[in-house]
Amino acid sequence: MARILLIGLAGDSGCQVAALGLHEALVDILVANELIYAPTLLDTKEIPDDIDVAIVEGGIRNTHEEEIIKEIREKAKIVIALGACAAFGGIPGLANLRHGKELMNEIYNNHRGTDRGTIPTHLESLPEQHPIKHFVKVDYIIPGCPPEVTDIAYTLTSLLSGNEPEYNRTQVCEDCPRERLGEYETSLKRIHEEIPDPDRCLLEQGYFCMGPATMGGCGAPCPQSGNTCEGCRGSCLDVDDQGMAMIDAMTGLLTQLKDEFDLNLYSAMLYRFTYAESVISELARRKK
Amino acid sequence: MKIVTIDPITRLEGHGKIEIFLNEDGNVENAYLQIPELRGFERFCEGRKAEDMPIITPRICGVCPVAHHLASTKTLDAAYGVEPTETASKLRELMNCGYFIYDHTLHFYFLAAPDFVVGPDAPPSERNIFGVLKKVGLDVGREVIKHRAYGQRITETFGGKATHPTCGVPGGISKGLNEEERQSIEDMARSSVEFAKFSLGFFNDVVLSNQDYVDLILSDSYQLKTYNMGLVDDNNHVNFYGGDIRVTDQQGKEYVKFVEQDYLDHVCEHVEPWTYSKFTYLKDVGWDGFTDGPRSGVFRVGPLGRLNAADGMATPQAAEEYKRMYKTLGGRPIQSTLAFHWARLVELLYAAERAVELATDPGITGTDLRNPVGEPGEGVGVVEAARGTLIHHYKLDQEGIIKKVNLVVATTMNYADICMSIRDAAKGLIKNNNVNEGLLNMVEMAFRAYDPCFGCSTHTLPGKAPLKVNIYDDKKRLVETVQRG
Repeated sequence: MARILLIGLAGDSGCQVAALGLHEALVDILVANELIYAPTLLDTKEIPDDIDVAIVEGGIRNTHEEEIIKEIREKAKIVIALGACAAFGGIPGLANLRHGKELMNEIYNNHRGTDRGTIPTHLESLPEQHPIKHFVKVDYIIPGCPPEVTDIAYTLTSLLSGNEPEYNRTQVCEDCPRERLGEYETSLKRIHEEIPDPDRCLLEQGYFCMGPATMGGCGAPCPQSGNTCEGCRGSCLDVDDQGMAMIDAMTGLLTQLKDEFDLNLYSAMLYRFTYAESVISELARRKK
Repeated sequence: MKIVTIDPITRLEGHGKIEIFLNEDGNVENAYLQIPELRGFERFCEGRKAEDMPIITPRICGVCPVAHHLASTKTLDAAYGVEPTETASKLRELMNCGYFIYDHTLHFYFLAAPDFVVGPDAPPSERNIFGVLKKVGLDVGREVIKHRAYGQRITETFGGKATHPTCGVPGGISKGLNEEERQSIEDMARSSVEFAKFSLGFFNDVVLSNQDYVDLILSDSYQLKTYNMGLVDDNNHVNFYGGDIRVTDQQGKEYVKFVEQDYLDHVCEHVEPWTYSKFTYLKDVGWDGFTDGPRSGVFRVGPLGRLNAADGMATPQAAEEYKRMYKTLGGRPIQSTLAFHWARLVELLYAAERAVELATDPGITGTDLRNPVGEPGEGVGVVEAARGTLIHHYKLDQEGIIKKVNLVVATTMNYADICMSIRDAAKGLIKNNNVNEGLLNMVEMAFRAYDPCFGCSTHTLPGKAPLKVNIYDDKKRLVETVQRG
């Protein structure tokens, strides 16, 4: 019987909601093991010792979370980063594009509909959002925003039966039924401007679909519901930087492009979920 | 002065910390709920492509992502001056119903029920969903899990993902329903109606048949006389997807009704130095601190706020349950914070009934999914999230790039109410230094009823986060530490 911890740090609880989506499989896992700490579900208030598996949702945004993740690492045999925020920084990592002080003034003191004159002062935020690996060693990640319930079940059941879980080795395109012809449009299109052909590869049609630079295994639900892949599962296995991989994958499209490609505008799409772990954010951090 | 700290507060989505200040006699002077983190979505959304907003903003909150996705999509409709097609509007509303089914089910059974089924002062190790399952049996547990999954599957069918859907585009929706999918949604929705009725019966048997619980619901510690707000249709019935925003007063009379575009004329936000969350209030009434009554602009949203702000429910069985609730608790408005739980189940029934109506609407499988957009401009979009009214407001430049963002989220609107409810519960329950774990949980019940999602928040001060009660003397020296849990 393994002792399991489930905690949310700087994230949005969506992964825990997704984990509950395991439904009956979750009941089996929880009946066979022991959930010892999970503030969303249990009233236990202190992080216990001797944790077998710590499942951590959310990244690090303040000094207290930094202390908590270090405490968990000390007490846990295995640490799993659940979801995009814990694993790569996630969408909140886009806040790193802005400076902390500027952010505070804009939101509290220069915002239509908000009374001016007060800025919260005494609480300790870090200047940036971080994935947990910036502070502690992470044993496994379960990618996605939210992660697929099948991935959560697979990772947990593998670990709990003493096996090493394997990462998916494909890209989202391999899950996607849309047809690829190897021919590209000459302009980048936006999803609200036209209705894309429902059967043809979105990237080939000129829509900014992150499929080729994103780890597969999700079944490509977004391209199948008529919209582009958001890139929520981060980069493919053994690739360090998702945005650069995407630029590489877009070479066919970019070389044919008639318009300019505004990198500034696209940075937050190339790195929607991975800006906090990207090479360019690391360079920006060094400069500060 | 002594300070009692509850950290982390539990059985909610997100994080927060409660500090209760006791005076010399050991009675409560004041209590605060702190939201300790800023994530800055409003700011970093600036400069993004407008069509990315329905993708980015759901990540504000993993428990109300569908509401953010829909509010964002509706804001883009308005900003691009386009009406969504009839089919798209119905599908979006159906998706919101699926979300209400799964979210209300989650809150009632997983987060709230432990306090009633296991007991407010039961041992903390049993006061959770597993304790509930032990009491009610695995058969009921399976029904709960099944219907929560149904709600998710309804959302997922055309949303792509249940938690962070991607189907909303200005002017419509990117995927429609085929007959097979429609049939499956109809079956799940019909089953959810029966499940909602079962849940109301369950509430009746477990809570309303227990005089101790009824006394607790009606006790002074849990009353708050505020304004109430929610979306209503043309008949002033509750609506989760559209309509006008209606505010009622402490007597249940209409105070104001307005269209979404005018929200800034009616709603303002106040800032306190000790927390990162803002406090919403009615502009015309004004901010009068943490007080209730007609001169304080504080209002409530969410299940009880919505039901208080409306004259009834638009579906037949929910309408009956609405009447029964008000009859039992002494008429409209209901001021008891703990009645949020009952209101939530009335809404669960409405969401399921409305999902059946929409799934059997002959137009729901239509192929008119998108209307062409106009020129980009400014727009406001409002929907009901499970925990209250949600407002998005964007200004776009001529290229369709985001220039300004204002988001007024449900938990911000309820934040002042939550702080007062905690303070009043603490004042009513903690007397003469008599503090114990059960009483502190009953203080937590005061925020839990609102189903807050402090998705934008986490722990605050450096150091460990045990559940400890630290007792200080008047020079803030630590006198005693009581370990909890």
